[in-house]
Amino acid sequence: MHTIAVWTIKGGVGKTAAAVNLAHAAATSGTRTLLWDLDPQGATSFYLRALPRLEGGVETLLDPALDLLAYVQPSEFANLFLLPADFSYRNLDLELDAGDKPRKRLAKRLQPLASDFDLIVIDCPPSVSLVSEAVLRAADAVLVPVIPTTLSMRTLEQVRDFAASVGKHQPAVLPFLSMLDRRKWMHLDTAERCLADPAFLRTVIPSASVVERMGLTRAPVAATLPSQPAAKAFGELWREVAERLGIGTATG
Amino acid sequence: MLLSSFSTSSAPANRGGTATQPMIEALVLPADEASFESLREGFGESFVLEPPTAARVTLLDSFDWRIHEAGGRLTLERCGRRDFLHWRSPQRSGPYVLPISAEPRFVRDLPPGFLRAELEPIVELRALLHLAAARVTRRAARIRDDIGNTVVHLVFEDSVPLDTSRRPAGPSRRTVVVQQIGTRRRPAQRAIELLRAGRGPDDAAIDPLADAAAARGRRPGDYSSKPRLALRADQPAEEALRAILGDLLTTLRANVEGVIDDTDVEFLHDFRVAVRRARSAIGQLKEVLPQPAVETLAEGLGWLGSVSNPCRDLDVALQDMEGFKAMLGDEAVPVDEIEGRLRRDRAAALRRVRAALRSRRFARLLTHWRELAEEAPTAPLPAHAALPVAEIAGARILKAYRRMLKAGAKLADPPAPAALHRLRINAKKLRYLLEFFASLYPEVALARLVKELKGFQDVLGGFNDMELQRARFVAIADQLIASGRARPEALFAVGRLVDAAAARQGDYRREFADRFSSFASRDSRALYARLFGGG
Repeated sequence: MHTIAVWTIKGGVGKTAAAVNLAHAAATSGTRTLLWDLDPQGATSFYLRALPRLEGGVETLLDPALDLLAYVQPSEFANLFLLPADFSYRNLDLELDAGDKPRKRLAKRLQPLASDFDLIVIDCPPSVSLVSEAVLRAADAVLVPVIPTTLSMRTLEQVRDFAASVGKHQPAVLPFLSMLDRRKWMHLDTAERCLADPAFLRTVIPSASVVERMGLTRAPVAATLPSQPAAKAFGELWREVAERLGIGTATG
Repeated sequence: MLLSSFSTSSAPANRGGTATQPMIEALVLPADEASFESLREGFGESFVLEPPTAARVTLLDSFDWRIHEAGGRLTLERCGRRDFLHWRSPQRSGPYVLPISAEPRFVRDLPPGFLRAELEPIVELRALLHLAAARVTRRAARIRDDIGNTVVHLVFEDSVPLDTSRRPAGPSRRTVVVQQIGTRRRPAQRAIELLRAGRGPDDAAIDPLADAAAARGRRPGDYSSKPRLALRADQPAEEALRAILGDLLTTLRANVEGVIDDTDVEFLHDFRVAVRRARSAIGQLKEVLPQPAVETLAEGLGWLGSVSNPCRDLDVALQDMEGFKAMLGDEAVPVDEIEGRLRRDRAAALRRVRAALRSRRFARLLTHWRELAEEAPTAPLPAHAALPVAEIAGARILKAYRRMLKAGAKLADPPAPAALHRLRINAKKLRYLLEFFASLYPEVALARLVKELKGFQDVLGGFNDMELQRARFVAIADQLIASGRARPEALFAVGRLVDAAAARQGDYRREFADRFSSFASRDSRALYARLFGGG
C-alpha cells in the first residue's frame, strides 16, 4: 500500500481538486484507492456527494480499538472509497497531542488498511500543525500544488523545510504546477522557473472552469467531461506520480 | 467508470456502516420493466437514471469453479474496444475494476496489486477459463438526498446468455444491484421494498451469468476432483465399488482434454489422482469384483500412472523453482538455464502423455473401466461381493490406520527417506478410503480425521518432493559437467539449490514428529475405533 498526502500551507491552490481527481484517476487505472478527507471543511466529501460526517468524529478516528475500515464508504466510482471528513477534525491537533507519540498515531491507524487498498490519498487541511507532522509521518510522498506565483513558490520552500524537519521518515516531496493560466505572462514565466527544478512533476494542471464546476457537478472532472484538458492532465499527473513512486499502474 | 455489477446478496457485514447499523451492500434482486417506474414514483426527482451502456461479459473461473466456490465473481467485460476485469470479492467491500490490455490466462499474468493478491490464494495454479458469457445492457442509477448527496447506488442489468458462437441462447433477464452509500440505511431499505413490492420471494441464486453457463454445458460446481458418492451402509460391496469406479472414471474423463491441451497443470494432477484412487479402490477392496476384470483394470491404471509420472514430477519441480529463484535473488540467472532444461524435459514428457491419451490402448481401457463400473457382475460372485459395504469399509480403514501407526512407531530417529516414502504411500491409501466412504460416517468427526491426516500428508509430501528435487539437481549437475560446457556459476547455483532442498527437507523432518504424535494420539485412536468399529 502506498500513501500520498496532498498538502500545502497555502489555501486556494487546487489542493482538494487535485486530491479528488488524482484519486479518481488512480482508481480508474485499476488502483484500489481510499480517499481520506482529513480537512474539517469536508470539501472532498462534498465533491464525492458524501455527507462530511464520521460517527464519533475525531475520537473514532483515533481510537485504536475501532476498525477504520468499518467507516469507509464506497463512492459512486469503481475502486474509489472515501473516509469522510468530520467538523470535529478541527480539534485533531489537540486530540493527537493528548495521546502517546502523537506524530505516529495517524500512520498507525492506516496500517490495518494495507490489505484492503493499494493506495491511500489524504486530503490534508492547509496549515502547519501537529496534524501535518502526523500526516507526513504516514505518507510515502507529499504532493504539493503550486500556483505559479512568487508567494506560492515561497510556500513551497516552507513546505520543504517543514517536511525535512519531521524526523527520520522523509516522504518524497513532489511539487506540481496547479491552476496555470496561460494568458498570464507572470504565470508562464514562473512556471518556466519551477520546471527548471527537476523535483517538480512535469505535468501541469491548467486553470480551468471545468475544475471550478466540480462544485456543481460534485464529481471528478474525468467522470463528467473526460475529454477536457484538465481531466487528461489529472490522469497524466497520476501516471507520473505512480512512475516516480514505483507504483505499478494496473494495465495487464 | 461507474460502479460495476455484482451478483450475489452475500454482503460482508457492516462495511462502511456503523457499529450499530449494518450496511446494505451489493444486494442483488430480480427486477423487471416496472422497476424504474416504482423507484421514480417512490423517490421522485431524487431517483437519477444514467444512460445505458452495453458490454459483452464473460465469466472467468477455473475448471473446478474455485472462484464461485469461494463466493467471488470475476468477469471479463468488453465495452466498445476496451477490456476490463470486474471482480467481486468474497471478503472485501465494493466492486473492483481493472482495465486490461491483454486477457490474463493465469492469475500470475495480472499486474501486482489488489486483484492478484485476492485471486492468488483462490485460483492458485489453475487457468482462468471462459465458463459463461452474456450480452449485458447496464444502467446505473442513484438516489440522492435533499442536499444532493448520494445515498443509494443501483445498477440494473439486462443479461442475454450467449453460446460459444456468441449467439443468444436464452431470454433476457433483468437484475438490479442495490448498494447503500454513506451511513444512512433507510433510503436503501425503501428502495429494496419498492423493488420487491408485488414480487414473490427473491430467487436465492440470482446470477444470470452463472445460469448462462448452461449454454456451454457447464453449471457452477459441476466438477470437483473429490469423490462425490452417496453410499448406503447396507449396500452390497460390489455395487459400492462399482459406484466408486464410476465416479472416478467421470473425474478422469473430465480431465483428459485439459491434459492434452495443457490448459493448466492441475488437469494432469486430477487425472493422476483419479488413477491412483482407482488403483487404491481395487487394491483395498479385494474379492469384490471378478478378478480377471480387476486385473485388466489394474494393469491399465499402472500404465497410466507410469506414463504420466515424469510429467507430473517436472510440473512440481518447475513450481518449486519459483521459490528457489526467489531465494537465490540476483544469483537466479544461472538457474534460468536449469529451468529451461526442466521445461524442455517437461515438454517431452507431456508429448508422451498426449500420445498415451490418444492411443487405442487408452480407449480400450476406458471402455473396460466403464463396463466394469456399469455392468453388474454375473455369478459366480467373488467372496466379498455381497457383504454390506460398511462392514468392509470400517475394517479396511482401521487396518490402514493401524498399519501406519505401526510403521510410524518403528521409524528411526531421524527417519530414513525410504521409510517416510512408504508411510506417505500408506497415508494416501488411508485418505482415499476415508474419502470413498465418507457418506457412511458422521461428517464432523470424519472431517476432523481427514484434516489431521492431510496435515500429516503435507509434511510427508513436502519431504518427498525435496528428496526428488535433490536427486534432480544432482543429475542436472552431472549432465552439465558431462556436456563440458558448464559455466561455473551454473554449477554453483545447482550446489546452492541442493543445499536449499536439503535444508527444507530438514524442516519437514523436524515437523514430522509433531504431526505424527497428533495423528497417533489417544484421542485419534479412540475416534478411529469408535467410527470404524474396532471396539
